[in-house]
Amino acid sequence: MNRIHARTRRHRMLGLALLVALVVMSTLSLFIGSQGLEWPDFSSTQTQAHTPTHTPTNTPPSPGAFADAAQAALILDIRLPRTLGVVALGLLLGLGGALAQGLFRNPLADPYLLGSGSGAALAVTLVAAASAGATAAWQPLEPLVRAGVMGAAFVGALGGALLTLLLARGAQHTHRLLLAGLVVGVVLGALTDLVSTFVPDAWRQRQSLLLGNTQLLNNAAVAALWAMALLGLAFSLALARVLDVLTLGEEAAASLGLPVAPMRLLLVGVMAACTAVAVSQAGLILFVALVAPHLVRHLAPSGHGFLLPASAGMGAVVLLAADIGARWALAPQELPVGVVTGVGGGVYLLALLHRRQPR
Amino acid sequence: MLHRPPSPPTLSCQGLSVALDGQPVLQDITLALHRGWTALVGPNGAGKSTLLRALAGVLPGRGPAVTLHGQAQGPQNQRERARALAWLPQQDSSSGDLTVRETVSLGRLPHTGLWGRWRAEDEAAVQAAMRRTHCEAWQDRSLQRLSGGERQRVHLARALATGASVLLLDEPTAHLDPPHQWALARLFRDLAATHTVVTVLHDLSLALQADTVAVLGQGRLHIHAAHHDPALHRQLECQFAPAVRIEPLAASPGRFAAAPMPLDAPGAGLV
Repeated sequence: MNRIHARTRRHRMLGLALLVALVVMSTLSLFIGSQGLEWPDFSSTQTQAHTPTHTPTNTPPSPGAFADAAQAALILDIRLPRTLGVVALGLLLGLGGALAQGLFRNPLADPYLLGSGSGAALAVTLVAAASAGATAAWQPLEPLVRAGVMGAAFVGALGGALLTLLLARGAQHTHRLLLAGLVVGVVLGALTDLVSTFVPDAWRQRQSLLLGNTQLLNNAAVAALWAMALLGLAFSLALARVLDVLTLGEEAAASLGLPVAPMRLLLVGVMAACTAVAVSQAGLILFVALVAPHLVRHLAPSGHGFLLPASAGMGAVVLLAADIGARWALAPQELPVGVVTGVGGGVYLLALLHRRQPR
Repeated sequence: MLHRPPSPPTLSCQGLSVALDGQPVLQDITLALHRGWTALVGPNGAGKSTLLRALAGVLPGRGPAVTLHGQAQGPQNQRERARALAWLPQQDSSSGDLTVRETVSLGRLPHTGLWGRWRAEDEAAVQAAMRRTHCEAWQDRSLQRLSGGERQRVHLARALATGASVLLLDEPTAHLDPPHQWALARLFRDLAATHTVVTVLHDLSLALQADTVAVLGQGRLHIHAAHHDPALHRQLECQFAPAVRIEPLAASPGRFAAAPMPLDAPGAGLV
């Protein structure tokens, strides 16, 4: 059986295209700043490397060398972690989306449906409200509060998902899970509103979480994001066949001997962890999780063994594009990336709606 | 001749009662199924699908009342049961983008497990199952692009691929046109030589082609008898009154069919 089916060929093409896009976009992301494209001047660095033998060492460096050093620092210290972080974030979001859509057997599902988004928002608002007075009184507390906000987002996202699972009495029933997620979203959203009504300072923190932001990604954030992305990918690949069996429906899957409840719980856990880490580092970036698996399914329909990693890759490409767009669109001002993904995702869904309209 | 082999039944239930959301759906069902083809019939809401699901072990909390190959069924031996018994749900609610071959391959799950190797015998079982239901020609097509009837054949192949000797099929001929219904009925008859085939059917004439027919009504099993049993025919006419009359088939002696009653015949209307 050595036939290569049209499907397999499409998978290979898409996989290759995603890899190429990832490399090209990452490179662009390194060299695009709020001033537009800034290619490093390789010729000048080359001449510099040769010059020391000819010039005395005690002459002051030229102004051009200063600019090059500053640019190198900008690329290495700011844009490199940001680019790496955005790639990992995109991987996590795309993966979370593909997991959610497989779990809920719904192509429009989103990992935030499980209450992780609203849980993170409430936790961040609470921490911000509690520390609003403290930072005003003593400025050095600021980094501590920022770390606290990140931790709160993580705990809140996981807590929201756990609460949803609790209310749905496990992960076995799709409709119950979706409804419980809706309830958790509405109730936690109302609580968040209540807190931010009483503490207006908390409202700002909450707003910045809701918008999604990639500007603050530092080395620690990059490490956390990549660790979770790799872990999530490994788990997802191991559980891809579970999602394939679940396409038959829960009862049919159970009749094939699949332990449905524990497997779904495991999948929900992986999805919630991916989402929680992403939310804690960059807030709620909308639509990437929804759109990435959609695009993959549209370009190369497949089982979950391909869909999961490809959606992760697609998420990275989409988010990189959005991040570059966020820096470029209103340069030198920078847009929150969540605004760009929101607008882009909306346009995509609209196009989908238009295309699917009955003729 | 009555189909009552002396061997113990492959699948049976004793005093099985099921309540869903507090409503009794099945009451005190005792049924013994042997190798051969059994059709399960009854008016809408009689509990046919629930009985099939209870026998398949997919109803939560049910099991001890069901015996498969002489073993009481509990929730603990799911994978073992999946190798011995395959169940096909009434409504095809499959989603995703799997191909026909990938879908049929899921039937091998009880053998390979989630992380096991795909062996030559697994591939052979999948190809044989697809050949048997005539869907091997489009094995590389997407399941979602097939018609309802074609999908039904794929799911049947998936059930066959498990290698299970007991097949519980909930309305396998739904969505199928008469030629495909007929082809499936022939397949059930052929399978009956080696399998215990139980099919829920709405078409009484098709059901009467089975070896035995079990009639359910309002959650109770009224009769389980050979297809030519006059008592069975009386029970069918009673359960489906005033719509049908059971008549001998002129074309095949010893076989019967359900004839629709004329629409202006006197009757009590739907009860």
